[in-house]
Amino acid sequence: MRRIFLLFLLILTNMLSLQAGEFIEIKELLAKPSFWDRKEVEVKAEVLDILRRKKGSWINILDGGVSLGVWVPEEVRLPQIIYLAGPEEKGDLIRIRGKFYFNNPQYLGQTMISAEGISLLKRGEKFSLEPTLKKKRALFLWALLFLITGVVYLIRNLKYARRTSKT
Amino acid sequence: MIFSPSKESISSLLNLLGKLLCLLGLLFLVPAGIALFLGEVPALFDFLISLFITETIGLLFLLFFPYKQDLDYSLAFLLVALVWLILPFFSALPLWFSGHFKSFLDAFFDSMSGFTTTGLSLIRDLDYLSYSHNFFRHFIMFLGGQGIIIVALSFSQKASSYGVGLYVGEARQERILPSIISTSRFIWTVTLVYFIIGSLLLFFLGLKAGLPYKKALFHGMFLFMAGFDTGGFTPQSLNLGYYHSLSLELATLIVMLLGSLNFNLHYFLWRKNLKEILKNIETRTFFISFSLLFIFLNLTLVLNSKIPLLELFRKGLYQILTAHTGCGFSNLTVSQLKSWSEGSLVFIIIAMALGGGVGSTTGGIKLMRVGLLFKSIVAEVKTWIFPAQVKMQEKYHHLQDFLLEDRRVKLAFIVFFFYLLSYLGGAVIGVLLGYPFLPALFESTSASANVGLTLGITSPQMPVLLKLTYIIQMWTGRLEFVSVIASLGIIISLFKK
Repeated sequence: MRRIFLLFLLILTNMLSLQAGEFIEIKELLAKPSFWDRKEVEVKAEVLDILRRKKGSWINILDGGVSLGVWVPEEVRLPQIIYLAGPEEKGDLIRIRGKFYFNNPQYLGQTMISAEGISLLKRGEKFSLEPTLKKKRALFLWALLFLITGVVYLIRNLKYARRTSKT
Repeated sequence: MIFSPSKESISSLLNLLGKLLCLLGLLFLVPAGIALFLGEVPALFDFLISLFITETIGLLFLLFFPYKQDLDYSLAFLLVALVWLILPFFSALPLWFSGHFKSFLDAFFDSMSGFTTTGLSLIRDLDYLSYSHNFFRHFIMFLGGQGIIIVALSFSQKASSYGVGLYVGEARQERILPSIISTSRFIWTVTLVYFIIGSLLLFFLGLKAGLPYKKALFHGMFLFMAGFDTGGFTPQSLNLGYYHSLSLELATLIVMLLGSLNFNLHYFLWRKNLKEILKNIETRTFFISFSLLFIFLNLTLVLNSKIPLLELFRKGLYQILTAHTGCGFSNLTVSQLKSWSEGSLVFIIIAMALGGGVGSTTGGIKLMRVGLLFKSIVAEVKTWIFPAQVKMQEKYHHLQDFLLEDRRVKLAFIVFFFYLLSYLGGAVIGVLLGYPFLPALFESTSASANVGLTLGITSPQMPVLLKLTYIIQMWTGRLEFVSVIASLGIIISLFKK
């Protein structure tokens, strides 16, 4: 009876701990790699890129400014990814469940996650590519200053050229 | 007696500085054109504002400081030292305007790192950076690797008396062709041919790795520019790990090896004279140092972890070559590199400290000097072994046979000493700021030898003093101390006047 109770307690605490820290940050994985090595992890990250290969795809993900490669074998269903994180877009936010490897010997020692399940959490979006008012004003001001300096320089050079041609 | 320049020559120096600023301003048109083509409007504004600021300041220099007389040899060194400070300063403007840096100092750090082909970076959210800004980071690396003065001399129509001073001041000791201008143009021809071939190769490998066309094209160019000029910036924060491609890693190895070759050897390579390459003291020194370091590094890796042979080869070979050529690309994450034993890191530090060929785009002590110092030690040991009556004259081959003269050994030793001082000095400052000695030495050597590998110390959060230290190390390391020390002498003389 005591053993059953202890087992129940163990399962409960494990479940709670998983719920409390459901997603692990990539920064945390890379900060304590020996602890997380070959453990099941779940991360939430933006999609940077999808590199399609013969037997699956590499997905590069970004979380809190830190990126990591994820191998997605062809048997794992990949949700439709539309937005990729980059200069023009905020990438689609996905949830990845899989095993973290600090040095995966199967892939020549890469630090990576081997995905077992992927789902879409939030669709990304396009960034506004409009320059700020401050930049517009600065451009106008410096263009004007450049024009004035350029004209003064040209006039001085013309005067100098005339003087030397006379002599 | 200390040389003290006249007011006329100082005015001429500032005039030339103004001309170079105007040239830099015009070079901003290249990334601005890319921004326009790709529709990156905010980036276009950043480059145009920087262009107008730089051109205005350049024109003011031209207006207020007329060219009165030719510079003499010593003042050419001061000009080189100033150019390598001021051009990175103005090139930091578009980077700063991009909003990807914590402060202007951080943008200046990256700009200096780019120009000196170091590759250390303080940028935030690199993966969100626009293509045109990313192009600009790699473009300044390309210009800096070739040599800013080389760029200017290539545009020049006639040779000036101080041209040699500018050329030598930029840490290039050898001419390939009879004149400095023809040498500069040869360097550019070689580079442009390699650029087309290398970028195309990397573009196709990028496509094969799964990149879309636009990304593969730009990344091909970026990786070539950073690889051939042994710079080490990469367009993504995952470094070379972004591509998950062994063939792309191997291609970058070839590119960085070509970049680390002396341009004189490229001349022989182009003329299919392989004998020179096999006989040359630099290639021989490289072969010996690379082989030893590769063996020792792999031994330490094997002793510390059970690592499969192919993985060992991939990691060991890449790290030693990237450190030795001063490129700084990496196929490991910072955490992986940090997990290596102290012994392994020491061999990487040694490889970084040695550097590549004289007259190449690499940093560090350089193979020629290492070879000369090694030969002089061997010569000295021989005098202990053989009887005093036996007179021996040691020789070395670099384009032709030379006698090992004391003067050359002394010069090699002086530069060696300054590099050692810089490596250790930077490490001591790192330790005083609270970092452990070995990582501090690793980072300091990486900055001073213009490599760019990092153990994670270099970050926007590091102390301002350390940022300044690394900026000075990158600057002095790229100019091999000569221009900086000569300039200090001239500045002191101005105050003593």
